[in-house]
Amino acid sequence: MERNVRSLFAIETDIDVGDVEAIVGGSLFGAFQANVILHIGDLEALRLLGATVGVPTLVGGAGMLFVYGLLLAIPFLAFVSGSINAFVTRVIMLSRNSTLLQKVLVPLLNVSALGVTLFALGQIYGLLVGSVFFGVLVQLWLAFIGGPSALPAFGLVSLFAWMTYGGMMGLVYGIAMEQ
Amino acid sequence: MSGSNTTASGTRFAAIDLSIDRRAVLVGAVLGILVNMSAMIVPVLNYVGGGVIAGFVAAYMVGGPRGWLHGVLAGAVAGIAGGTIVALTGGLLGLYTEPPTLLQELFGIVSPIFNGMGILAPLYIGLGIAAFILVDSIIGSVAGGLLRTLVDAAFGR
Repeated sequence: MERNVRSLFAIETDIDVGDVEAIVGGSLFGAFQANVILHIGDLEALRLLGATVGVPTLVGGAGMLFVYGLLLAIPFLAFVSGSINAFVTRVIMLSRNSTLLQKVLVPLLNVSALGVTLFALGQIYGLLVGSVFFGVLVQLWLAFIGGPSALPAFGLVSLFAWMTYGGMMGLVYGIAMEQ
Repeated sequence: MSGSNTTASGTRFAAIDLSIDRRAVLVGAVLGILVNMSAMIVPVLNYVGGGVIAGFVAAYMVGGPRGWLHGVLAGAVAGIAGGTIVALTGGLLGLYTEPPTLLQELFGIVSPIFNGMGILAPLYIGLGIAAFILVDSIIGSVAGGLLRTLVDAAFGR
């Protein structure tokens, strides 16, 4: 059984149990921060997330944000695990070509090259999640089940919350991978 | 600290490793405080509690019985920090109800009792909060240490 379980993570893919632990921790931390932002700035977005499972309350929405945060971390991990070295190399090359970028990026890269790269990548991923998942898929699902429209809650605050989710997930994952 | 020792009868035994991983304690304690202080804004966090998070994270990072020790230590640090915050804000405002002290539902039921304690009220309230968080962290650290042991066994780590 042990070999079977290991083969799921370590042999057939580049992902091992440490990666899974890091991404679970990172995604929960990111979802926690997104929850704080949405509770301060966009309660309607939370109620709509709860409405996707028939619980249009703040507690339901906050709980679903953690669940969706965990689920949406899977594609990020799958993408990052195969291409992170290329991204880090690209960021290092970028910092060599521009003096301004060199001043900004080199001190950060010295602290944590993976953390900085994955933080930036995570923010892009968060923007994508906010636009495609929340702006389109949640909207379609709510229309399908006859729930309220999600479009009124699709604004800068919810996008910022999803970007924070992605950025924090990437940062925690990157730092954990460097340890 | 780890290694093997020999008793008078010649039986060899492994000494318990009690070295402290400061990073695990710090990460657990900071997360615990963050969760506690955000619970007023994010009510769903009250279902878990900062003490449980502090204990769980620190214990999981280290694993096993040594992880339990780390979980309780993280809970103690989070408890002292949380207790100090509540004592300070409560003392400054003269109130020990939740909104001013930022630690919602942590001690709501007993808070009126502390209000009549006189000059030592901040000390009692601080110790009370620390005790609540510490007890929570014991639950979290048992769960975290156990889960890490299971994961290690399942994946042969």
